[in-house]
Amino acid sequence: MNKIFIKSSAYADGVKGLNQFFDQMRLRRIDALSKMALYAAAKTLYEIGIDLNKEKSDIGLIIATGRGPVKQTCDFMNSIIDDGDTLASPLAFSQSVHNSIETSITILLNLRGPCLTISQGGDSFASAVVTAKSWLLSEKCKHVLLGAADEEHPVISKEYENKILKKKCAAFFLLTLEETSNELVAEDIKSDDFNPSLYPFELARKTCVFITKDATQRILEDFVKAALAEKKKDIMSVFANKNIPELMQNLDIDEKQNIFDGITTLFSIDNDKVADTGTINETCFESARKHNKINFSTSGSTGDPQNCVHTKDMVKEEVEGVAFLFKNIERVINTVLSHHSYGFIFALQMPRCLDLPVLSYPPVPVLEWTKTLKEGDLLVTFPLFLKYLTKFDFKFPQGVTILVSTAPCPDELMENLYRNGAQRVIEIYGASEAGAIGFRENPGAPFFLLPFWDYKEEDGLVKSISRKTTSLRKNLPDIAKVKGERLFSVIERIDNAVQVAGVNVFPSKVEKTLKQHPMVKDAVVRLGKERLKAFIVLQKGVNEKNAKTILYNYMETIFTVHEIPKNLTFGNKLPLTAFGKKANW
Amino acid sequence: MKTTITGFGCVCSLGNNVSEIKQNLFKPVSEISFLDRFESSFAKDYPVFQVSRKILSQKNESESYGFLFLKTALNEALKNANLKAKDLKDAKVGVVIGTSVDASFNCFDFYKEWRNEEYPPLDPLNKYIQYSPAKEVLKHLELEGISQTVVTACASGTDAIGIGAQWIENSICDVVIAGGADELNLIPFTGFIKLMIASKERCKPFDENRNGINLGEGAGVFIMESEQFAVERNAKKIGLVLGYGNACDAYHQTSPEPNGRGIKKALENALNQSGLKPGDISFINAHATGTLDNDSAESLALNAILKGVPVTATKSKTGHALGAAGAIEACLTLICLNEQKIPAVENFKTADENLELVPVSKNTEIKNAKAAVSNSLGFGGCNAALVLGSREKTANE
Repeated sequence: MNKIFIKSSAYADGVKGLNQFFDQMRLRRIDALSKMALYAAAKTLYEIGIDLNKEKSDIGLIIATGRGPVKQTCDFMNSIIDDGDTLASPLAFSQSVHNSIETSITILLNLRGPCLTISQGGDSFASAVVTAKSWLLSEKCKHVLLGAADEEHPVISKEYENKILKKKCAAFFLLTLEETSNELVAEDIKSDDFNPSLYPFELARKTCVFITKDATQRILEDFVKAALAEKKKDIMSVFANKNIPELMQNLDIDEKQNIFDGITTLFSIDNDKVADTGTINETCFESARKHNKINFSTSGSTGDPQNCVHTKDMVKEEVEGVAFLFKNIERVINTVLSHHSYGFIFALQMPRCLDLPVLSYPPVPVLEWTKTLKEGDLLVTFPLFLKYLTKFDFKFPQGVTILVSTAPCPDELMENLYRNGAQRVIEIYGASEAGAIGFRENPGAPFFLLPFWDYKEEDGLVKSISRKTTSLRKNLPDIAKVKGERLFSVIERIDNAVQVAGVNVFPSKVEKTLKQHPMVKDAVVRLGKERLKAFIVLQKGVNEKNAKTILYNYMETIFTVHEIPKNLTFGNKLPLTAFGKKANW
Repeated sequence: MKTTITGFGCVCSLGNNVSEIKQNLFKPVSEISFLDRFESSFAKDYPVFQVSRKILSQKNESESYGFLFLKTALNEALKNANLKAKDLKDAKVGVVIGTSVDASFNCFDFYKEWRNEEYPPLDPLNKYIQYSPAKEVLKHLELEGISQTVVTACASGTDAIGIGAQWIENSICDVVIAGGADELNLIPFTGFIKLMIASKERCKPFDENRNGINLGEGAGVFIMESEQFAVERNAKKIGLVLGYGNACDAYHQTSPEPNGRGIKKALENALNQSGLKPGDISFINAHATGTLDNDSAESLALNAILKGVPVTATKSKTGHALGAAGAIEACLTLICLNEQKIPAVENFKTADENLELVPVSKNTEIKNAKAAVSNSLGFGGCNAALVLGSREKTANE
C-alpha cells in the first residue's frame, strides 16, 4: 500500500501570534479551541509558503478531536442551568457542535476541498490518518491538512488532574503521497484517552520544517544585501530592496558566483543547484528541509572564514534553552541580519518558537523607527547601533528589553542604556560555532552559562563547553575565568593561528606589536592572499609614505618572514561592519 | 467506485426495522409526537419523530439511546447480510459511524449535579472519555479492526458511508460496517429551538411556507464488502455505493452558503466518482430540512447539477435525525431504489417560486431506477452526497 508523508507541520498550545495572520474582526466570534487549532493550521501552510487567503480546492481538511468543543458544550449547559432553557445561549450551542473547529478553519484559510471531523477519544488522530490516506489514494485532493486539537475540560481537568499531561494543544500536518523524510504511519500512533492530542503535538514539534519559507527568503535577502553592502556607499538603498533578482542584476559573473557559492554553503545545497535567482528561494528551502541544517561562516577575523554547522536539533535546543529570557516579550524589533547565528536564532527561530511577531529594520543606525518602540518590545541589536542611540541620548519607552551581541557590550554602554530607560539589557556571549553561550544583564557582572550547556573547568578557566542534548562540543573562543557555579568572565580572546607558507603565525601578536609603534594609532591584521595584511591608522601628522618604509624596517627587525604583512593599507579609521565588528578591506 | 452493499438495517420513527419502514414509508405519517423523555420548557410545543417505545424500552442503563439504535440497526444489517461476527475474525474490518449527540458531552444531569458540587458518580464522565460508537461496535462484535466516529454534524451519516466505501475501494478493509446513529437529546433540542430553526408545526420541505425542522432519531447501517470477500462467501448484493462527494462551504458556522456552491461541488464529486451522468440518476433524496436557508441553497445546487430529476424529502416522514440522518436516508434511498418508487413529501402544499423546485407530492413510481442520490448538508458548511445503485436483479425478476 502507498505510504503517506508529512510535508509540513506546526503546533500550538495557545493563540499568541494568531493576530499576525488574521484581522481581529475576523476572529471575534471564534472560540478559544478553534482559534488555537486555526493558528496551528495557518502556520502549517504558511511555513511552506502556501497563501492563506487564496482559495484552495486541492487541500482536504480533517480534524481529529478527542473531546470536541467541550467547553462550549459546558457553557451552553451552564446557560440552561443558570437562566433556564428558554434563555439558553444560541451562540454557545452553535460553537458546541463538534465540527465547529473545522468550520472556522475552512472559512479563515479559504479551504474549499473535502472536509471532515473525527471524534474518537484517544484514537481520533490514528483513525483520521487512515481516512487521510484513503482521500489521497482516491485523489479526492492533492494534500490533506490533518489536525488534532483538544482543549481544557472543566470537569475532566478537575477529576483527572493527575492523568492530564497538557491541558490544551493543537497540531497540524500537511500530508502528501510525495515522499519526504517523515512518513506517517497510523499503526505507530499512540492512543491516550486523557491526552488525545498530545501525541500529534509532540510529533509536530519533531517534524515541523527547520526553516520556514518566509525565513528562507529573509536569510537569502540578508545574505545578498550584506554582500552588496560591503561594496556600496548607499547601503540604505540595498537594504530597502527586497527583490533578490533585482539586487543581483548589475553584478558581474564573478560577483554573482561568489554570492551563489556562499548561499550554496549556507544551505548545504547539493550539486551547485544555485544558479538562478528566480528559483533560489525554493532551492534553499528544499535543501534546508532535506538536510535540516544551516551552515554559518565565521567573519574571518581570526583567519580563513570557518563553516559552522547548526543542525535542526541543535537550534531547537538553543532556542528552547534561551526562551526563559523572553517570557514577557510581546514583539521583536530586529536590526540584525539573519544569515549569521545571532540573527538566525534571535530574530527568526526564537520568535517563531515563542509565537512573537517580528518587525525588521536595516542594520543601520537611524532614529526614525525607534519611535515605534513600545512596552513589551525586545530590541535585537548590536553595540554600534546602541552607541549611536546613546550618542543622541535616545530615551527608551517603559518596558523595552534590549538584546545585544556580535561584539562585546562595554559596561559604560550598558550603564547608559539603563540610564536612558531600558528595562532590561541582555548581553549574549556567543560564537558562530556554538551559538549563544552565556548572558548577563548588568555592567561588570560575569556571564551566566546558558542552561543547555555543560562545561569543563581547568585551572580556574572554562576549558570546554558541551551541549546537554546534542553532540555539539566546543572550546570557548576566549579565555574565560570561572567566577562561580555556571558563572564566567571573559578575560581575553584566543586568536587562532593561521598558516603562511605552511607556518603557523598569530595575527593578534603581529597586530599587538604594530600597535606599540609610536607612529601607529590603531591597527588590524588578518590573513590576506596567502600572506598577512595590515590596516593601519597612523597618529596625526605622520606621513604615509615615510611611515610605510619605517614600519617595514621596524617589522623586519622583530617579525619572522612569515609574520610580516605583505600589504599595508592606511586609513583614517579601522574598517568596521555594520555591526561594529572588524571588517575586511 | 462500485462498492457492494450486502446488508442494511434501520430504525427510526417509521419503524423498528427495514421491513416495517418499507411498509410505512409510502403511507402518510398520522401521529404527531412530543417529547417526554427529558424535561424541557419547549417539549409540548415542538413536535419530534421518536423511535418506538418497544425499542426505547430495550435500553440498558449503561448505554445511550443512540447506541441502542445503532445496535438494533447493526444486528439487522448483519442478519440481512447473512453475516456473523465470527465470519469476520480473519477479515480486515472497518467501522465508520456518524453521530452528533453520541460523541458529545451531553450528560446534562451529571453535569448539573457536578456543578452543584453534589459529587455524582463519575460513570457518565468515564464513558464520555473512553467511549465512541464506532469503537463500541467493534467491542460489541468482539472484533479487531479500524474504527472511526465521524462528527460532521448533520452530514455525519452520509460521510460515514462514503468513507467506508472508500476504505473498501482502497483495499484498506475487506468489510466495512458504516452508518449513523443519534438520539433526541436536551442539548440539540434546546439549541435548534434557540437558533430559531425548529418548527412548531410539521416540517414542510421546499414549501413556500416552510418554517423549520422537526428533530428525529434513529440509526441506519450498511454492510459493505470488497468484491472478492463478497464473492468468496457468496453474499447477496443488495445495492451499491457508486460515488461519494464531500465539499465544504467555508462560509458560516450554521448557515449554508446561499448560492449552494459547496453543495454543488459535493454533488459533482459524487457524480464524477460514479462515472454516471445526471440523466442516469433516477431520483434524489434531498437533505431538505424545511428551513428557509437550507432548502433554498440546496434547490439551487440540485437545479444546477441534476435539474429535472425527481426529488423526495424523507425528513418530512422521519424528522431530522442529525448525525444519523444521512445514514437513515441512505437506507430509505436504497429501499426506494429497490422498490422502484419514491414517497410523497409530506406537508408540501405550495411551491416556492424562488426555489424552482417542486418535490414529489405523491408516491411516485420510478421505473428502471438504477441510481439515486442521497444528499446531506451539515452545520458549518459540511456537504456530502452519495450516489447509490440498486441491487442486482435475480434471474427471476
